[in-house]
Amino acid sequence: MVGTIAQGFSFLVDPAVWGALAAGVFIGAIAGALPGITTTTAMAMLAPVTFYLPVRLGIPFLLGLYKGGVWGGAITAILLNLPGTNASIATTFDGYPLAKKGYARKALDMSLYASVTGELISSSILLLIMGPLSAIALKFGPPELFALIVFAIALIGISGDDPLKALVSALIGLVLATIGIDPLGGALRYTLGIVELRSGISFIPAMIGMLCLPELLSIFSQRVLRRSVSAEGRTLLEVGREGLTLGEYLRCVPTMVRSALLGLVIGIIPALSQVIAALLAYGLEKRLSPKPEKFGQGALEGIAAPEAANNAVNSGAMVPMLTFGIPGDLVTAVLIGAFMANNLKPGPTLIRDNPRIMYGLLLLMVLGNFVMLVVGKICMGIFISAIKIPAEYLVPAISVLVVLGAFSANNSLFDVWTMIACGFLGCFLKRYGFPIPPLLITFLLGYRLEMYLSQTLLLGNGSLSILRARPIALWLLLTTLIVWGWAVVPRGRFRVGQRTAS
Amino acid sequence: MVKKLITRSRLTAISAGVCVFLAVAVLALGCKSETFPDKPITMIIPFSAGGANDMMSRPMVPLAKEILGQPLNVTLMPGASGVTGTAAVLQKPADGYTVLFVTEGPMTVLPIVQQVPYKRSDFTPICRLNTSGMVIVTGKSSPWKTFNEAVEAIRKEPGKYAFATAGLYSTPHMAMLALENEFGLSFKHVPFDGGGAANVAVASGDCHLGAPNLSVAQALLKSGDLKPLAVTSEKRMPELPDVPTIKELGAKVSVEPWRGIFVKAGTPDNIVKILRDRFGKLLNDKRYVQELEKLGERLDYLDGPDFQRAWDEGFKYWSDVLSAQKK
Repeated sequence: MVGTIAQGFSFLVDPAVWGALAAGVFIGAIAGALPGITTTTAMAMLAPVTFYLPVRLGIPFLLGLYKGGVWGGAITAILLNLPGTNASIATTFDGYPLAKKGYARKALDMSLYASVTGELISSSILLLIMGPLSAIALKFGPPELFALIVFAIALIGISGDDPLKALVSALIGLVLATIGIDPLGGALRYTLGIVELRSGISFIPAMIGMLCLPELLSIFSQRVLRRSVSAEGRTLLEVGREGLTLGEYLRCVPTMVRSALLGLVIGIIPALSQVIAALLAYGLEKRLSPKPEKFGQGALEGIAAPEAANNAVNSGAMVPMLTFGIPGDLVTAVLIGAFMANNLKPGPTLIRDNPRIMYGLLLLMVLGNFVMLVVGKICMGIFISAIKIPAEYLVPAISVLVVLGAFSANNSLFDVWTMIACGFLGCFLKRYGFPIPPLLITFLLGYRLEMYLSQTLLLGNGSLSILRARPIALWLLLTTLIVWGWAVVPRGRFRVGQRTAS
Repeated sequence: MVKKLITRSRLTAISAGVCVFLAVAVLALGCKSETFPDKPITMIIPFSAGGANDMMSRPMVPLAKEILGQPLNVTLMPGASGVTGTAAVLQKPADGYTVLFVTEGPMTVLPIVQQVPYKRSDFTPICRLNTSGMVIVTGKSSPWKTFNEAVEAIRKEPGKYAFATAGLYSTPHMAMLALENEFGLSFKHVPFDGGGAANVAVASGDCHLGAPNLSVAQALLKSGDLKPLAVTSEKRMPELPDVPTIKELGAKVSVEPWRGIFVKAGTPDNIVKILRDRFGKLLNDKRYVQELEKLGERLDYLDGPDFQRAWDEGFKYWSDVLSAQKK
């Protein structure tokens, strides 16, 4: 095996390969930052370009796009409370508060370093023990997935400050998730005869609306009401001079390692994607932290955890793709298409027949993280300059961008209305102190939660007894109960009416 | 606060400019062009990025200007298993500048089983691009070695065996319904979110049978995690020469869902003819066929009138099968 890894190195000597990788990371980061353009869309649009390029350029380009795309969403998540991609939703929890405090540069640095570190860890592991890892992929069927999602929701859905309001938000999210065709595909629920609602409320426009519009509106109203525009108040955000210090980075290393491992495992399971890894990592770190109240106020760990996890998923997702030809997510589905178009048939024969290329690519995944570091810094610089544009020009520009983003998710004008409606909902919730993240989490995961539960019941012929034979699922559900209990009991009772400081 | 940016003279100049612009625009719109096509053609694909239709449309784009005469703009409008995008085509004028590239599901099956905002007669077929059969598979640890063994076991205990599909009325589900109809079987249908998840369920043993497309299942077949029992295509698949077709095993039909191109009904006949000729040329062009094969698909072209017949026949068959299913 060492021999084949050495063979793979020969693949890396060509500078054009690195150029392609860097180009991919750059475009990916920008596409990731732009709301409404998901990493998948960018990859699907650019994949055909690679069909005309030789393999050694095309695939590195796509891999770079993948890496950069998953990180890129963090940029706007931190600067505008607007995740550029789903993967960065959790990054808004601590990234945006930290930016509002004037430490945007530090937050951006943390997101980049965490992403690079996370992916470095997971891709190195991938390189060394890919075979055994693939066994995990087949172990997660509907019961396990159901348990995992319940676990994720419990971990994050009940955030510390006001559990009752978080619960209400979470329930609203679940209700919104029921709109559309039911997961097993029979009935139309609450679609009011509108065709566009058949697949439910589109998530990206809703997310943009609920997270970003209230912020834009409050900035706008502040300035209009204040009327004066002093020199310091002109820019949207004070970015801050200092980046991340070594000490701060090292303090977060345990967090990043744990999150990366989590991300790797989640990536290996075909049905799960970056979002779930990021959410789970965040929730886990918060529970494990000696000072959980720091989370949500701008804790660096709160940025490190989701960013390390979501990038770590990339390497994990390669496992089912390379060993079974099963796409880990939509992005790997596009990658599979690109592989096949270059006469590389993903599957067990791939490594046997093309060892040089395959190990070359895996090495690229590992070493490419350093490229991401460099290119990422450049991208950060671009966006930081952009954010320094005076607010009266920037806010309208962002508003246009946000509308375009909501539209381009599905080429649908209806989605723009969705975004606006959710914007109103978001403002209302914010005004009365209901946290928005639990809503988004249950909204995002609600469909799958119901689907996996239904499938589990189908397989068990209507009863949950099937769970008795599924240790992983049982263990996850048990842990969920423990987490719930732990969150609720020390308080004695829910503290109703406690105002939150957001 | 605002400096005098907009002086009276500037305002007059701007207004004059706008008027001239509007006048020219109106005149331009008023002119009807004699030659079709004289602006780009939009192809709507009612599925999401990275899907099979999307991938198969890409190689069309570089050839479009040369063969169709105008660039081809591919627009993705996913939603509701293809219903959203299909319905969207009907919002455009019937002038041939909007074509639909869709699979059999939304055009044949969904109109039968769901309330969809369109009818088959709302569309005129341009041509069929390909057909793909499915592979009936079972998991590595399954005791069945042949299709007939499976059939026997399933007949003994109807409704017990779980059949994994990519979703309600997806192509694997259609295969399952055909099997039930042709062989007198009854399965427990377990729909998943896409072919990948369904395959995992069969490979891990959670479900007993599945019917993925060959391209989706190839890797698992090679690794042995899935065992092929039969194929639903008309002829045996070259990649699986030892696997019998369901017709050989006694079915009266083969199940090969198609992908095809349509326009809105009511498009003038001469425009339909031009589209049929030109798309026919494009799809049969060597360069396109090569790209298609790289994606693991094969061309199975049928021109407009033949395609209409095939579509009608398919519709009749599925109406019978599905009405037998409806409770």
